Amino acid sequence: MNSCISTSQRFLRELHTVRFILRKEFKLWKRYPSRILFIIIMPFLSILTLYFQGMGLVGSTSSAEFESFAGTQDYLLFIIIGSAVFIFVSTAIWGVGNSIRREQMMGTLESIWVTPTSKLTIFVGVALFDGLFSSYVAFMQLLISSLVLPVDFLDLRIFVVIGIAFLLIFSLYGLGFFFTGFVLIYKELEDFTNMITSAIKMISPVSYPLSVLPAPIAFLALFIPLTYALQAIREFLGLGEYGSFYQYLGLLLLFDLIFLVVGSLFFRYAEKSAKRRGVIATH
Amino acid sequence: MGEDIAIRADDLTKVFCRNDGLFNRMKHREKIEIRAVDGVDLEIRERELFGLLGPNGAGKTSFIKLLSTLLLPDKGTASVNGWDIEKNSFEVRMSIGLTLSSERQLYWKLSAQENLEYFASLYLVKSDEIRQRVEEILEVMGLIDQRDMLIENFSSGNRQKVALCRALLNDPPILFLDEPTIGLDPSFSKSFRTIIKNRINRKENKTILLTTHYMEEADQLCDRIAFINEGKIVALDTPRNLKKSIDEKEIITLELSKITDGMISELKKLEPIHDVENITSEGSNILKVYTDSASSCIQDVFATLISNRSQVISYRTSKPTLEDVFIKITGCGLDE
Repeated sequence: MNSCISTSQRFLRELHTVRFILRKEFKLWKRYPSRILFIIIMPFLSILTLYFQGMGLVGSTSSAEFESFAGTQDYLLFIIIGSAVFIFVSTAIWGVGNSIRREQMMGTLESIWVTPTSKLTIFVGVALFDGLFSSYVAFMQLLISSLVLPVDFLDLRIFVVIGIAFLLIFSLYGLGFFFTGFVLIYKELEDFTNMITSAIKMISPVSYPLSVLPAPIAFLALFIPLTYALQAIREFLGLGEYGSFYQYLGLLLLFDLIFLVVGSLFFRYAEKSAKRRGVIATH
Repeated sequence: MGEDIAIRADDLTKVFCRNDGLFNRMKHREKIEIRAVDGVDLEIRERELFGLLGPNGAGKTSFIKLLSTLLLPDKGTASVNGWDIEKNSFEVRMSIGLTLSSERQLYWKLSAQENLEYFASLYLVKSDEIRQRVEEILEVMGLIDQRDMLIENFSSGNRQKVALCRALLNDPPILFLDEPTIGLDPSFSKSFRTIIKNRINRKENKTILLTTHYMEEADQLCDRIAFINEGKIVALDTPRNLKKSIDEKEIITLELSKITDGMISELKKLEPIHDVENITSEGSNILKVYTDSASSCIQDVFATLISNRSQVISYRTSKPTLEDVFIKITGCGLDE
């Protein structure tokens, strides 16, 4: 009686658990054939929509009018980058929370919660699966843009863009932990999810530069790490003048730290509260 | 902690607020509290098969969830395998296996083997031992030929067996089985009980805490039983001693057209009747008469009923069961 495993044994076994979580998520995903069709077609649809939208609005993929706001004429490249990075925003913020919600609805959450694996390991596994999925969609969008549209993106600069997206993603997962705590207590948050995602998309420079926003709304964008990631990427690619590239990287690191700490603390509080109220598995 | 105590609860209490949540609190000013577990003191010995018997909503599942670290207590403490449920929740979870009464505790779109391999990794079984361990357990449960079948295609009974396999994955010393045979047909329940008693408890020496509201199940399986009602333990002993605690040797159960207080008072005065209880439920008027000898008082009982203009629809005599003990102690049946 009373025997347990050492911390190093636990760490190693939890690393293996991440592999099993990825495998389980993939198996559950592929049991629904419509999902396979979705990921093949979806990148084409989203990119072509952006292309036709540009053609319809300004009659071309570049615009002198757009340059007066954004510092670049290349409307299409500007918006494709915003779109590709935004894919990570919604999956990182909501991926873990949605996964917890799915387990609640399926009735498996308590079975997971009662195992000795730490919640962080479970979140890392789910986040990795979602991250791989988002990376695939973003990569396909950029690839299709390079092959089909008049946009040149297939060069080494893509690795810097990936690096910046990587810096962004930690702060987004911090937000994700925060919202996962909400899911644990308040359950159905689909409308809230849509509202927050739309608000982030509206406030931050995903589809247009900040200069088109009224000053009070543009001020709010300063509190969203996505703003700095997009500014850094566009600055690096020469799509306008946005300020210091390295300053943006520093700000991203600061956001990573703050959001991860605050998100994790809130999740721990929410889990404790859910256990006190007995609502972990309720719908 | 005593040498052979596997589970201990001291004044363990869990209170739920029905009007929790912002809008409910605005609507009802006063908190509506439900004491799901109310000051439970309990010790379960190592290798014991212990039953928690009570009606729906008595607090059985809440008690198991407290011990499994799925709920936090509001008062009191408990230890499982020597570990405190609040301070050492990781060690507690390493020491237990749990099956819940819900059918949907497995992934229906995964096969039995895929489910068990995934959960084995969550139970931190060494990765190079997972496949072998899963196959061993499936073999023991007689499910090895169905290992690649999706859970959605299993019968309810076999799903419950897979859930039991999952609880055994990390070879825990303690098992919590919450209503393990609920919804299963009688023959399957019987074979399931045999596995629990003979294989898991006797052969593998595991301590088992089992909740049920089936008295026969508790009677057949358990070394000791605690009756739980409204969150409180109201009796605790071996099934034999609990049944002995009823002085009466026989019980006459009568279904009548009507029951009146006057009729009950008259019956209570008859010899050798010790007690009469009205356990009317769901439109049936049921009376239980506790006596030393049914044959010596049955005529007087019928005469009293006729004089009170109550018609006997059916009657039977029987020896006391655990349910009778439960009714005697709590005044309500297990189905209520």
